[in-house]
Amino acid sequence: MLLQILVTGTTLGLVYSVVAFGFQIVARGSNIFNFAHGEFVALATLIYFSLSATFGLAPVVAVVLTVLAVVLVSFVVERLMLAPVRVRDPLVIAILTIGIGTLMRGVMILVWGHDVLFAPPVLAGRPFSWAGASISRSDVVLVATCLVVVAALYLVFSRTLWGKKILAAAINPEAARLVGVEEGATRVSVFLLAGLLAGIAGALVAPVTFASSGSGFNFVLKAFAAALLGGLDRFAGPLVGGMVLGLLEAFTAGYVSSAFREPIVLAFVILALMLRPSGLLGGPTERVT
Amino acid sequence: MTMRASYPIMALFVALAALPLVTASPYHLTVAGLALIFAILAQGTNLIMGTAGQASFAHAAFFGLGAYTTAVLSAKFDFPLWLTLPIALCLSFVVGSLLAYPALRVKGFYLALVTLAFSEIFTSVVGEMPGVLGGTEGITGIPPFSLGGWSAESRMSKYYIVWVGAVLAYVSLARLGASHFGRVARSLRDSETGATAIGVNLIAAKVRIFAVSAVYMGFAGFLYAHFMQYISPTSFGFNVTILVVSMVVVGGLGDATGVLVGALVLSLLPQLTRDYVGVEPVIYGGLLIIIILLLPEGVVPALRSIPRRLQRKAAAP
Repeated sequence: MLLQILVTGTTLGLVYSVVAFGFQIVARGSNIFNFAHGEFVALATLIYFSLSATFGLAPVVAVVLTVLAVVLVSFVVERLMLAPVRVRDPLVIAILTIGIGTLMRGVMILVWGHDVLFAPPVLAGRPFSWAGASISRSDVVLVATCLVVVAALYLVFSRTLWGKKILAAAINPEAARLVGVEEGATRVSVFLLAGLLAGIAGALVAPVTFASSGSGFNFVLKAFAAALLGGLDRFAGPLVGGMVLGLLEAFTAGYVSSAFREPIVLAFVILALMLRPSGLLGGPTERVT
Repeated sequence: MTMRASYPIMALFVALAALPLVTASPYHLTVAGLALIFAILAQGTNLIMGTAGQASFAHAAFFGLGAYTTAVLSAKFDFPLWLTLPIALCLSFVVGSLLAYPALRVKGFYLALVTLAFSEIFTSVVGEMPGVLGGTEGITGIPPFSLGGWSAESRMSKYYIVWVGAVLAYVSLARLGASHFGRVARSLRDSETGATAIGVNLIAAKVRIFAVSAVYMGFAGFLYAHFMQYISPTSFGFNVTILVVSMVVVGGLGDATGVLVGALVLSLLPQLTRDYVGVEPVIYGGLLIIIILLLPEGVVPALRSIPRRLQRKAAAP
């Protein structure tokens, strides 16, 4: 029981982490709180479903095509709807992304309907079991991919010039501009990276849970919570926040109440932010008062 | 915010009052009544987001709190209206003040997350409580507005009560905006540091703004429960917050007249598209995107600036 909950919680936590990284990178790199981020994940689950179940493509091909499609959509969205925005107020831009998310959900409902769709597994075969706990092969692929993605992100931000430019723009936009980091280019690149992460998470989570046009809100709520819970300005923030949320959700469902797991997890988030307003990893902040 | 802007709104309210003379269709009156209720919600949202600049996303929960308090007390415990209304408003006030405390600790998007989480907790807890709260099925058999021996049985009488409520909310909010309270709220939006420097008590001001805006949304919930006589958790989810925030932004964030126009227009939109599943979010989302990209300050402020722009053009050689 305990082991099974740990396995479920870790899987869930890693998915939340990868989605939250996409949310955090855009928030830091361009100061846009992208409330449409969850819809990109939902879109990925649906595209993966169509490619693998309807068109019968091999799972690996379907995953790759899904990721490419979601990256393309995020490029179009950035160029068409975010780049031309003339206001600076982050709240108004956040509401713009709510509009983008609503539009995307509407399009998904028109194309795929409201139904919950079950996609074929990425890796077929009997689940691995050990000491009473079992994990499906698709879950193993999901966990392994998420770990690789997190490691790759770490390398990108610590070793490459591209990653360092984004970090520079995040830490001090003014100074970054002075040394030649182009604002527009940073915005496009963080948005594409977020699309890539949403695509990977969505394509791999579709066979594990389900694909649905209505799942976007839950993804963005968890990503938003994980990124802020961990600490928005720390690299490991989304990882820590996502893992805490995933494990807490699994443990609450297993030991306390499955029906009330959502309110319990969210109440924990509120409490944690009141005690540590800049996140679990964040340093002390000035009080507002 | 000033009384200068209120003439077109008065005309709008008079036109809405005359609506039952034109149509007796219960469907039309229901749509118009809901539009008025959403206009109250949008104005309460505008107070906290537009005037005070606080990123609060808990509007739907306060709307639901008012509606559920009213529904449970009147339908399950037979409380009379003169008791349910004050209880609903007081409860909104208290919970609104409590939610202000996180707002003292966290700002900006951290506040958005806290308020959004609060709102989600509200709907999921209500949905999981089948007994008194009705669970996902909701609460049916809520009595209409009634006071003493009289009760508003017909759609028209219910509509007029909602109309009176909306007018009261509009007038009182316009006066609040022009008062010391309104100036303090605007000072928070413009600069918290500046506000503190000129002697604004930040804690008291934030608590009061959260509480007052919650009271307006709770009042809208009270009207909704008696007007529709049926409520369920889905009427108070994040989609309602999106809808209300869209109304405020489309009309003009911080512009009282604009917000009211935005609320009335966007409430009618779903009625035109309700036969086509999925079209509604496309239209809402598309409209929100187009307005923020083309008229970031909102439709009504943009309309208002046309004469000024024309003058400037005429003055320039």
